[in-house]
Amino acid sequence: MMLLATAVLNVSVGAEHVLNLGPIQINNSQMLGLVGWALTFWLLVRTVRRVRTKRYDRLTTAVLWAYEYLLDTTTEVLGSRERAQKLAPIAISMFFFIIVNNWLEVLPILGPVTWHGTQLFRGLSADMNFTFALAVITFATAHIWAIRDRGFIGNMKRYVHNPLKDPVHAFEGFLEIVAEISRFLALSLRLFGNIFGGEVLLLVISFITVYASVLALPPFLLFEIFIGLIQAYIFFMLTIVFVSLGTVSDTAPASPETESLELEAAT
Amino acid sequence: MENLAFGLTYSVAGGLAAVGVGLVGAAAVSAVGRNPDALGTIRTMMILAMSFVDALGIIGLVVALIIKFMK
Repeated sequence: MMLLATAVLNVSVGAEHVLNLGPIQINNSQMLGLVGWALTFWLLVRTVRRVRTKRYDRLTTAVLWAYEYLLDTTTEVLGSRERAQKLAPIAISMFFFIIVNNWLEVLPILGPVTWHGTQLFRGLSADMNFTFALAVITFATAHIWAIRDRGFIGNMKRYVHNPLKDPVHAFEGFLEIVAEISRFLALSLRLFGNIFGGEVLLLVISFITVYASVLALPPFLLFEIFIGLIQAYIFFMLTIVFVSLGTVSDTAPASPETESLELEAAT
Repeated sequence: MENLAFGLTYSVAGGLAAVGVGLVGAAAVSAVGRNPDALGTIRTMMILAMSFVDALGIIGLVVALIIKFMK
């Protein structure tokens, strides 16, 4: 108990500023983010090269399997293979980027490596700026697709109606705007909260089981790896669901029942 | 007062999220009981729904941590 009383649990909610590169401030989440970016780039380029020269190994096969599975999911949601192949590049590369960064977060270099008192590395998804930027990209994609399908006026018609002519639809459109904002916030907060919560969980576990943390941590690390996979998949899934909500499917028109179900799942 | 706020924020959010996850799990188990062949699909959907529920609980945890650590 004395040990616990003396040590101070220090959690910072935002990313901390570590160093300056000229006029650019570098935060500790960006340090690990660069590593994650390089790893993702390496992983995807390596897979492409290996597939072109037909030298398959386990990692290549795993990435290919994940790609095929995600492409099938996209096809299922969007309704046709062509549209899926158009959306796949952004959605699936987002998935790989998020999953690599989520898995980097469990590395033991995160806490102990410090630079002038602040920790040098921090999980990229545990920084609100990153998840917010991803949500902005998702919603920009969704609206670009919606505008491409319905036209600019058609996209506005989802939200704005003349309240004098059609008060019920005007109110529905207002609710749709609120739903859009809440979806946007929930999308960014979900990823941030899960990864940041996981980091705090690991910190608290190692804090309360002081010397036994070697035994206590591995199950939680496994759990965090699982959560990282699930959250990346959820983000990918929500991206394509949001895009498909705004578009008009050309093969099978969605029945109102499934659409409301998707809406419920999304919010 | 701050500790009380931390505890309440975390426990109310966590408790209600636990109820939600319990409902999802119960629904999934009864669905598997009715239709054991669809186990794979039901498992995926259960995990998806559970992560939607526990996201809210975890947002509650983050807000509680903001209360405790950001001053």
